[in-house]
Amino acid sequence: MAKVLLVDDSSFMRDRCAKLLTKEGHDIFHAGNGKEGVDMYARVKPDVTFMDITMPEMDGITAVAEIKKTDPNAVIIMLSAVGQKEMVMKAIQNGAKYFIVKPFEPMKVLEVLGKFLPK
Amino acid sequence: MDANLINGFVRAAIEVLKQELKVEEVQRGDLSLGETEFTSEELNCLIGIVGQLEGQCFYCCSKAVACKIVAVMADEAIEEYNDMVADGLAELANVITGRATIYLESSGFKLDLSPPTLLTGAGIKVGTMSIKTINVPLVTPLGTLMIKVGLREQKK
Repeated sequence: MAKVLLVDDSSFMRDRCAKLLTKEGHDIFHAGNGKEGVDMYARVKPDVTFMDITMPEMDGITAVAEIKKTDPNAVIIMLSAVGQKEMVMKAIQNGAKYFIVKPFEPMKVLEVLGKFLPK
Repeated sequence: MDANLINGFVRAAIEVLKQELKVEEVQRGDLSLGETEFTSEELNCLIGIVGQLEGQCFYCCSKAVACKIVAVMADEAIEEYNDMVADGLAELANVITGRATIYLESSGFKLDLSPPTLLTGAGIKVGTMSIKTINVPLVTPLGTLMIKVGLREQKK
């Protein structure tokens, strides 16, 4: 069982992911934009964070960099509709561990999560 | 607007709708050229595009169709239109447009998207930044989603 932070301005998407991950027994935390994501990360210290890119207030690429400043070991998986090569590269350069393009297959999300959960 | 640009959106929309609605067939209806404003349907989700191209995409449908689509996406029964349907439609629009930008990237266009904005209410005149749109109905087993894409090369 892990602490998972979902950062996405779409509550629909967060709820969808939360449903999937709660079934697997994980504790889920929500943030509605990058800034909330950074604040929530500091409060909750999740094992894994799923991060969208296009969000108001602070985008996901920036939020990854901000989180990595305070926790270089943060495990952040991008989960975004914006999958252009440049975006993927920026996310990885900022410290994201993986990039999943929406629409996601539930099994893919679980597989990737499994790769990065603490043993 | 270059009609070839619409192909990326059509391809993206068909792929995403097939996956999200778990259907084999999504039909593309006849393309039509819109004007620089259109009359809204009950739900109209707008996504702005900036970069080497600028403009907007609109995803339009009735509340009834949106309810059916989002019910499948959420794997839940939905009795009537509510905030979850609105959010689900916005997310669908976001995902389709995101995929379209991946296809446009392979044609050499670097683009950024705005978060979605949902305009609710039929019969409103909606301007499209003086860009004529190309309109494509996408016919699914759950009803029709109309996509209106208006893009131009970025003004220098």
